[in-house]
Amino acid sequence: MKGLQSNDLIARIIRYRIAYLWFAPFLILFVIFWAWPILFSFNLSLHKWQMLGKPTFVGLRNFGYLFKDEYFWTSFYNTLYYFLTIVPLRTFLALVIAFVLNSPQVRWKEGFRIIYVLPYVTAPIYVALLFKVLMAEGGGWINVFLEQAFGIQPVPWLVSPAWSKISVSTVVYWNGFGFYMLILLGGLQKIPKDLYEAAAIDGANQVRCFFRITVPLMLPIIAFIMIISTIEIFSLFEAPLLLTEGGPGVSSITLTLQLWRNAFDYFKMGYASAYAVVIFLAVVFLSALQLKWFKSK
Amino acid sequence: MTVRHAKSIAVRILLYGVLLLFVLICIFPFYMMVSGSTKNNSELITLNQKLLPQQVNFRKYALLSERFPFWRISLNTVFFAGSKAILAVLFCSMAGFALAKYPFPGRSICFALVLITLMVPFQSIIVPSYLILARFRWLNTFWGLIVPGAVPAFGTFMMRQFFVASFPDEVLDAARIDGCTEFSLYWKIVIPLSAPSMWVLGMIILMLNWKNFIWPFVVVSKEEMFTIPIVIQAIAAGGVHEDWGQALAASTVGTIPLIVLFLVAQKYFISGLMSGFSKG
Repeated sequence: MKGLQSNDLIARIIRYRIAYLWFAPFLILFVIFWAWPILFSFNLSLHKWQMLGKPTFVGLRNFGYLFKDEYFWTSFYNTLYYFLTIVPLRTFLALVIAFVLNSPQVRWKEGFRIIYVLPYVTAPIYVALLFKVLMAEGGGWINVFLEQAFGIQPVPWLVSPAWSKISVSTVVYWNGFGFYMLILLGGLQKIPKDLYEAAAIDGANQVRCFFRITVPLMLPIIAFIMIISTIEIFSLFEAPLLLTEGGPGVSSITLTLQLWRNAFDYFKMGYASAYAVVIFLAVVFLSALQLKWFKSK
Repeated sequence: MTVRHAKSIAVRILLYGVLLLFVLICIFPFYMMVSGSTKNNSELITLNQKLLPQQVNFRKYALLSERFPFWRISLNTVFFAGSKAILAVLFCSMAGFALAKYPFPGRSICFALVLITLMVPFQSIIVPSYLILARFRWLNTFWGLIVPGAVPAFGTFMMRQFFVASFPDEVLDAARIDGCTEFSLYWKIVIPLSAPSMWVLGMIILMLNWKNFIWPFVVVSKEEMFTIPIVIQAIAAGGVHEDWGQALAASTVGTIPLIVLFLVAQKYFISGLMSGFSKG
């Protein structure tokens, strides 16, 4: 019986051999450029290595340093700050706009849709540069406009620790809003129209429809957005790198920026890998947590 | 009834007001980018901001191509993003097709690998990726730029979903009965019939790589291998020589072609983005 089964297995492998050929390119690149690097990263985080000579094994000492490192905690706190100031509100606003663009009474939907996605089509590095120019304290366009239109004193967007994180968040908002709006719109279009019609007959207004029909039915897509936003925020790099250079001081650094600096400015490959391991574990843990939370709903 | 009517008009005005405000917020920075690239430096950051440049000049563009091999860099960007798109369309559809249509032993493990890869932030493998490329002597080469991410997991996932949901098995069986081999099945039947989804995937991959900063930043340090996003960082890191006008000119060159392509092929972009599998 056992022999028969293994014969059967071999027969199936031979029968579907073409599938292995089709899947091979993915698998080869996966092994060399994903699986190996991840293991390599974990291994390197247990070593001290300055790119010269051989790495020396130091056990968990890198993590010991990491948890005593003020910069690590600042960047960790900042990453959470970015997540909390960006993701919930952006998702909600994107859902509201998508809801409006999905309603049958609004015209020029395609036009609005295209325009709202244009910022997403622009590379984050260009956006960071552009806002660096616009947000200059004395003479940047935004401050001049605010003063001329509303009489607001110049805002120290990039030069004050209290504002730098807000500026980074603003840039991330502008850059990503349209993308999330589109995903949500894609989901909204799958909600059958008769649900809204039935609610309208029952006398529910638009706001009630939004909270009673739209939000509950959209929970799976909101869960998906939460997960990709988690990855996005933990990977935040271009905006802090160029817009604020992590500063002033260390007020807007992120985990990825610190990882980069340790690896390629200070050549502390082992220590940088400890950062990488923390990012990896944090993202996997947070994604799992969110998925669980949304499943229980 | 008239009160209600007036109220609905007010609501409508408010609605369109908000939508138009968002339009302005989305469009205006682009205007500042393009117009900034034609201004003199003294007009860029000044308390005396004018909406229109005093005199439009293209000196920044000339300076940019004097300071960097900018033609070469632009072609690099096209070649990098284009070849990534072509390779991804080919290999992702192959892998997705295998996962969707052949119950081969090990299929569920292979699919799990795709899903796991979706969850891993690329940032956590920057250091080993760099070291592996250095070992391969692939730093500052197109091999290093193009090969490692050539079969993205999200593309494989997207194509697999497409084949499962909207590619009927009957077509394949009919072709097999007609004596089509498994090999030519893919080339003669699958590729032509799944062309629309392949276009969608291709456009998304093209865009993501055109925008990509961190991967070229890892791989490339020589100017002749730069892509346009790297130029921005090179100018910004220049310290005293920093020239925001030049950087804005480079951004304009990097942004406008993609926006034009987006507007021309928006059908593909929008449906790809709406399905939501362009991240991770």
